[in-house]
Amino acid sequence: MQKLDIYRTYSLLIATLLITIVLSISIGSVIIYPKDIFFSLLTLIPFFDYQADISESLTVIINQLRLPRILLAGIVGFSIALSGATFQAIFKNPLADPYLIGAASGSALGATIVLMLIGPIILMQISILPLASFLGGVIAVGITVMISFSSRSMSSNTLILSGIAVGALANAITSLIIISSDPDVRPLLSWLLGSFNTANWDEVLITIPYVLISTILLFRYRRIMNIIQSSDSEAQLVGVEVNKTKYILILISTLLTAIAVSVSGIIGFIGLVAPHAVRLIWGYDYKYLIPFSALLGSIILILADTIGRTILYPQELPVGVITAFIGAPFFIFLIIKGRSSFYG
Amino acid sequence: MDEKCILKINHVTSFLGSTKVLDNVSLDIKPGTLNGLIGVNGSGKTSLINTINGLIKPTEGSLDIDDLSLDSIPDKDIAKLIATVPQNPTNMLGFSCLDVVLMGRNPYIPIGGWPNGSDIDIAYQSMKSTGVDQFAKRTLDTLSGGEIQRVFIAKGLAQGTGILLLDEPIANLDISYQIQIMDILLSLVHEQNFTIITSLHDINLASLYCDNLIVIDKGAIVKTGPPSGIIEKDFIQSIFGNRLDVIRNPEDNRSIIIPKSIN
Amino acid sequence: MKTRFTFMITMMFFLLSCSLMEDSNEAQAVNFNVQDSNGQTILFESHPEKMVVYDAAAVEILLAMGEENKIIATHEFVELPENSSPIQRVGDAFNVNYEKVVELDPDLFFVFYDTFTKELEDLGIKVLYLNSLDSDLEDIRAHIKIWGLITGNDEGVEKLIETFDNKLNAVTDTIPTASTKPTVYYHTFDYWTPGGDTLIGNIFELLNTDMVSQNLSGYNQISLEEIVAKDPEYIFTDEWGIDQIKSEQALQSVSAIKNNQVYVLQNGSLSIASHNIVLAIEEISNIIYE
Repeated sequence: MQKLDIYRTYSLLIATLLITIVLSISIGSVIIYPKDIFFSLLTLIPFFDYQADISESLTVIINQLRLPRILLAGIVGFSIALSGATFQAIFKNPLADPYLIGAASGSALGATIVLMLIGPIILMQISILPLASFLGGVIAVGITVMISFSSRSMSSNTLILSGIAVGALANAITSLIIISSDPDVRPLLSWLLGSFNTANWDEVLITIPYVLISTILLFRYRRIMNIIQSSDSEAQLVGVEVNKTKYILILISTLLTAIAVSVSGIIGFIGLVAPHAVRLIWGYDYKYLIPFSALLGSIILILADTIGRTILYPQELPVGVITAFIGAPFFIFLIIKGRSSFYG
Repeated sequence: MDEKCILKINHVTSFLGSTKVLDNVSLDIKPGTLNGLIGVNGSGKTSLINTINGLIKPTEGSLDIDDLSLDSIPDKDIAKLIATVPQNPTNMLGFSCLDVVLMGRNPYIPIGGWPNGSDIDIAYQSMKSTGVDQFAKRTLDTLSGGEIQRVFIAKGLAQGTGILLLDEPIANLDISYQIQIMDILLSLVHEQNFTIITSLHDINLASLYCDNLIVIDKGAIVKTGPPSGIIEKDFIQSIFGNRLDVIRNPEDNRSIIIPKSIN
Repeated sequence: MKTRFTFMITMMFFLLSCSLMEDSNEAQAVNFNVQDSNGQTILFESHPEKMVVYDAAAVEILLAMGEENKIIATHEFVELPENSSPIQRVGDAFNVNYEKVVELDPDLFFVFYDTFTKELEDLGIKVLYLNSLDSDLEDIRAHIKIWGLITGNDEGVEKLIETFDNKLNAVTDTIPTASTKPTVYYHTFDYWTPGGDTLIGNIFELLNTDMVSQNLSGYNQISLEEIVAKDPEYIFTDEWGIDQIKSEQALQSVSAIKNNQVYVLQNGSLSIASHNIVLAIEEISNIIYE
């Protein structure tokens, strides 16, 4: 890409993201004008002690409900798209996504165990669900990597196959627990479907450092991701420590996935749709694929969540349902166009 | 002759899975020479190349580069000493030739870094050496087979090594492109003092261009030396079968191999 | 979603002609029909003596009628009063141990949702399926009457309904009919809340309150914005939801939370559709109107 195009694309995506955020804040039970959003946001600045001339419930809706929810959706979309693009680079498989190597199933199992066997415990105002799902995700991916490692070659196929096996096992255990546990499965179902209804500032603030660190680390590997698009041996021939690199990338993207799953549940398709759309429009270079996918993932998920919370208001529609409605047709389009087979 | 050997292979045995692919191979390669590796399919040409470049770790024996044991060198640094152009490299769709050649600079760029000006200069020089600098901004899928092969040789050159290994660089190319590639290899040896080991199917081209031929059969080295001592009827028939004849080219008096006539 | 299930009960008592005869000592055969929630008519030729009752509400009703001897089994999640004798369990709410059921050979298997009906019937077991999830108080009354019909315990059922009605009237008499209704929100974990057409919705309507989720149908996840906008004065929930609702940052400005009006019901549950629900109604009425 030419330098001018790059700057143009960055500005386009960032501007779209900001417009999406403002638009999403204004839509809901009440339409809020940008002017009120601006004044309401001013009250958030510490030590500024600004008193906005708007009703308290409007301030609550902007500052406590819509803003943290939109930011969390943006962060989760960013994370899932980022780890989706990374998994696709590692496995050289355009269909690889954060849920392929057991990360999401493991996270769901972790949360299920806590929710069904212990109950939704809230310690110091923070649900222990995220922690449980994070541990579940890391353990599942750990087992996946261990299985593929014990088969000596860490090829894409062994990893994907053991990921599918571990994911299926985790899903089976989840079903088992649901079936043989307390009758009230609604909380779990709503969590599994993915929702930002209970998003709050704590979740936003907890996820930011993880996502920031993971993003910085992944950005450092963009050039290497390009190189491993050739074969493993070709990458090794130019001095890439292929296995070590793959472990590091898998670990970081699993961390991103688990963080996303832990605060939002299972939200499909973003990890596939965002990187693919970027490839269609801006090409295959991971230098740009990584940041553009992340920004686009943010935009798509914020829009999807905004649709989910407004279309049947006051009823909440799980955001995973909306992303599936966007993602499935997009994929059918890709299949028909035959562009998804670019890896040969 | 106490000319130093740039590459010494001492009694190397290596396995692929449970199959023995190299059996007690010893070899001395002198700097600034073009060495042709010949043998039938499955004789171990690719395995020898991949044992030299470190993709296959030998179970016995040792390899020395400039008197330095390859064992003691981390994988990442081997890429600064030996460059390899594999057979059928992955066609990096969507990447420009410059992008691909710059990947050869990876050993010199830290993980978080990007190629700098001198990396790009080296990439252009490498492309110039193989005559593809005019394609720098084009993507690989717009090039012909011979042009793509020259891009991948340029990628190997960009690694800045003294040794260049090539695995069947002229397979699947028209004869004119085959000669073009061999000319490039020869000029690299003569003008840039590269040491090249290349496996070749075409024994005549091998004997025409190479300083040395290395004949490998069933994982063992059968014979090495200048082509004149290798292209000899009984020996060639023992390796490649008795349907071959060796005749002399009346123009330059060189031995060439031709298939025997059918009756 | 269907607004309301109304159960059509057709009762047909056919006293055999022998009642006209002198010999009235002979065992009286009975014949009656009950229509299930699928609209099918279930014919009874005698009062079942051995019943598997797969529903907490029905167990409560039978216990109150003194018919506990006829319950030979139930499911894991049915809680029994402390002083009652234990009942065998043949599965949890989502599974039935069919082999066990066949072995017990019940005269009737009662279930409040449709999952096991076909399998049980294929095994030759008489099944009665009556939905109690989306009902109203009238349905509860009807259900109790059906149990009177099934057990033949007319006296027990009359007493139960009388007590139920008396208590309910006592509560409804104290409810003010003011036009400004108090706003309430019924919370379960992750904001899955019953809509206006559910049993709980009907109860809050009876209590002359304005439920936040009044306009929703069935059980849905409700938007937190709606709770903030409607600003409920009272929140009722269960032990699962109490911590979540109280600690929700965005809801701290809601009146019920600000004024500490968040309650977990102590006497009976709103989600078990038995006569005991009147205790829960009484408790809510006391909280709101006293």
